[in-house]
Amino acid sequence: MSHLIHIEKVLLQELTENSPDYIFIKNRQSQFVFTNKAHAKMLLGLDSPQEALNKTDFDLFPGKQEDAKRFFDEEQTIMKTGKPVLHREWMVPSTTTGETV
Amino acid sequence: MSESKLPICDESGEIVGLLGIGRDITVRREAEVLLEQATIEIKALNAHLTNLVDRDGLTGIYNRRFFNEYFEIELQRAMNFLKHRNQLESTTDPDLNFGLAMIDIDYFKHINDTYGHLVGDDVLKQVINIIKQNIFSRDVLCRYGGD
Repeated sequence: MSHLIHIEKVLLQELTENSPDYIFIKNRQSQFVFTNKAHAKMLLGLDSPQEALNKTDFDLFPGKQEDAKRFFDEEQTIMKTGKPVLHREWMVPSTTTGETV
Repeated sequence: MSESKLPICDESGEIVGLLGIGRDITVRREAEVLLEQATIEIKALNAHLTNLVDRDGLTGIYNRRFFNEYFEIELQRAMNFLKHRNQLESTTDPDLNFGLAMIDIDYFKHINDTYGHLVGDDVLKQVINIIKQNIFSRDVLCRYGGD
């Protein structure tokens, strides 16, 4: 049984870590408690996901406090009301090319 | 980017955090735009090709190939109509509700021989214009042969 749980744990870890989709988890205070490689690289512009731990968007985007505030407000609303935001499309400047994608 | 953000609950149902999942859809969006453009181009090309296949190059009216195809369809339609009408009215009336007029320009060869083919072409176009002005829009005008 514990063997199976271990396999499931590894599977989940590998899937989330290596997914080309970006995945993150934030706590009630909107601090990162998990981010995968795709998220760290694509959106945060970090080399390793570990660098984001316990930080907020305010910490990670010092030059973009307004955007950080917008994300923070949205996330706090989601966590307060329990209503998810689904398949929302938005543009972001690429951390690699600088183009808006 | 296409993104979803969902609340995460603990065992008691209290919201303790949030899960974010997103995907870069730039490539997909670009592919969709390209596909749309290609579809429009193919449609235009198809319309152009259909035109080439069905029309007479000189006069722009339907050609013999189109006539043969269209004639079969129209004849079948008229025969079906006749069958149903006779069944409904319990008659054996053999009259088809169908009209076909073939027009030939007399001595057209003389025009070509005397004034040349350019003038002959022009006469053809003028005759066709006159016919066009005197038929209904539902009528189908085809060029079956030389004149």
